[in-house]
Amino acid sequence: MSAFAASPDDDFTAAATYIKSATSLTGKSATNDQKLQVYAHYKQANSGDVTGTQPWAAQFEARAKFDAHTKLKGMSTAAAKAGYVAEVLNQIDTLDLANPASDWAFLSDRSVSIAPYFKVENKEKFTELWMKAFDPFKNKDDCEHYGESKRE
Amino acid sequence: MSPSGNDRRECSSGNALLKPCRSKSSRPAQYCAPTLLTLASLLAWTFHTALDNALSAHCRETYKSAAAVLQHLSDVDATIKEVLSSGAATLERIEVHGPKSEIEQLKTAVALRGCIMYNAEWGFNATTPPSDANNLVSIHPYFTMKDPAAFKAAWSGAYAATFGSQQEEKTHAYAFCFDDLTNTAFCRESYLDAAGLLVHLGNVQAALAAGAAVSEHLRLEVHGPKEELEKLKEKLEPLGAKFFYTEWGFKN
Repeated sequence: MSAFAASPDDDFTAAATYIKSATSLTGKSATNDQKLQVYAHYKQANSGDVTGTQPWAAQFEARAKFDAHTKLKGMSTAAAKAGYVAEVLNQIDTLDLANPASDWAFLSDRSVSIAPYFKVENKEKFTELWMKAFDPFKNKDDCEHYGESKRE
Repeated sequence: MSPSGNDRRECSSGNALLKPCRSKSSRPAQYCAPTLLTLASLLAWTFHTALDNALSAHCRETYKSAAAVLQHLSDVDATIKEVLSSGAATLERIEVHGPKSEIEQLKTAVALRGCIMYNAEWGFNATTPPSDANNLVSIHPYFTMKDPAAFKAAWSGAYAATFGSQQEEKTHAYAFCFDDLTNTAFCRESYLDAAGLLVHLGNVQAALAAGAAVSEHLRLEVHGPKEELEKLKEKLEPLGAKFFYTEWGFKN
């Protein structure tokens, strides 16, 4: 039940939900290899070892998926699920992924908060300096702003 | 202020080992805040004025992971230094809260040397994302545990009910965290509004009583918009709560 001790199954399900509709905040796209890693681990976790024959070379996508799945032959379901979660986490970091619909649930097992406390001598200067640091994102549309940082 | 003594209040902000800002911006490093949007899920500045008019500021900020925290600290390093060197403020303390696996990655960070690190042992973030974080209220209770095992048993025993009540209590996030060096417990918890927090407080009366029998109340803070905090004063002011009012920030 605890998000900090989630079971592999919970993590796997949450990761699958998350990646399904995640988008990159910085416009990055997954490489083919990254896409295949996600596909292959998901397939191995749900279906086990690859079956059937290798698609024709001209069937680029089907063949690439088949080959990626084949590389995981013999991997246990638990290991495939763990590998899937690790790959999703890696893509969240490298591709700056976000998913407003499931951020809070999925990221709970790693989220870290920092809580700095300042004794303020000059509030005007203090606010000016921090607002200046945050100025570049002040007018971005993809986040909600509070108080003085609200968009005009 | 620090539960662990003055030696842990010497928080530094510089860290040459941190990665440079990932932003492709040509601005100086301190203006690399756009990366913040990729690292943080929440950030809000809150302010508290004491009876002697001393002003305290707190930044409530949550990041994806330890790596994201380090990146953010690198991004705002110059700003922190300017704030401190200009005399605009002095740093009282920095606390870090998160799961042990992430906290371990932060223990060697120069930027966080001297900071108080709490391991989150159980908790959750809401499965339904907040539709509107503008009324978000967080409560920050600290306890000195006289009997850590009994204290943890009292509160972990109440956890299943708290988890199950997240809709009713409008929970945004909930995590019980511990600094085992000082036997200090802290609950990182936030609710979508004051009404949700009040429901939660009513639901955990038994755990509060059981926990109180094996701990001492150390400190209590409440952070949120002024109009929301006004609804909590009757209940929390008698407990010595400090009220920090949200002034600006964002939710990603």
